[in-house]
Amino acid sequence: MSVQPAPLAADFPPGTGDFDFTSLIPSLRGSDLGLAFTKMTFMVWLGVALLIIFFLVAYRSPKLVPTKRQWLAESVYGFVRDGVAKEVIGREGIRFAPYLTTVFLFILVTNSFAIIPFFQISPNAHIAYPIILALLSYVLFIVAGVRKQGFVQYFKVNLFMPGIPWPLYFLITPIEFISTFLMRPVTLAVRLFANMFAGHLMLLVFTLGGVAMLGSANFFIKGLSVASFAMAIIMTFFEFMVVVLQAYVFTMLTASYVEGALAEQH
Amino acid sequence: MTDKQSPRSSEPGANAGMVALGTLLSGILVWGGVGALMDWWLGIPKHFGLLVGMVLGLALALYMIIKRFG
Repeated sequence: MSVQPAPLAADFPPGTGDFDFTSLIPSLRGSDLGLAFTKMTFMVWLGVALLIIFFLVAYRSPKLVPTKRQWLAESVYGFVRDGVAKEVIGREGIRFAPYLTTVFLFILVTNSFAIIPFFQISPNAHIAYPIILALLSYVLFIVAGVRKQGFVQYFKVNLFMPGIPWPLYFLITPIEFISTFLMRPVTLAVRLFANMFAGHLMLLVFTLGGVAMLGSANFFIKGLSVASFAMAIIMTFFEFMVVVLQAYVFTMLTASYVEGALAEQH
Repeated sequence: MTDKQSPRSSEPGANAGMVALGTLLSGILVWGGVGALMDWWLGIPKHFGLLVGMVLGLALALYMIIKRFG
């Protein structure tokens, strides 16, 4: 038995119970309402507030020659509009640019909590948030497709592949249905969740591992904890890359699903 | 890190890849699932229905991918 490392707030071998976040407001603990005020929801509120305040401040008095803040806000929106919406969906994509930008920035900010000290976990490491985000994109691309092509035509294009003998539809339509209307939202949610969750575990393993090794009686193991901490720092930079990439991938895939829904045939 | 999409450069290829992968997985999943249900329902021994279903789903998915992109 090693000595219980002192600087850890949680119980030392962390368990799944650490993901049952309790209410930040002590009097609400145990009630249903209490779950509305946890560390997770606090981070989401904070992220949303930061985004709203940033864009309000940046556009408070827009100038023809932009200020630094306005330039930043405009270039982020411009990046998503030109780099994602226009490039993937085409000219029609511009009207989806506000949604895509919002999703991109929301995921970017909430993901960033994974590497910000004292937060150290992203709300997206909790499957509930990616599920809602994926559902939003899911509803968006179906509604966009139905409005563009009409209900019957949209499902005909998506479920019945042209140019194959009709008996095969019995075999192929279920596959089309699952791949378009089930796999897409599921993979969208799971990809974001799993990336953020795995990143969190990775950082935990190296940080807590380092602390545990430091508490060891063996001098050699104690020395090796330096390597563990170094790895934690390297992994934090790696995590930063994942944070940005996953926000981009989510936006990109949403755009490509919208593009697929708008296309007359694929 | 399931997606190694490089920004901007390979959009059509990456999208086609995602579609192909999704089709393959759903093909195997759907007909493998149906096969497994048949196993359970009819009491077929040795997961025979599951195996046949997965192979059938794979074949169908390949057919769809070839039809779509070939």
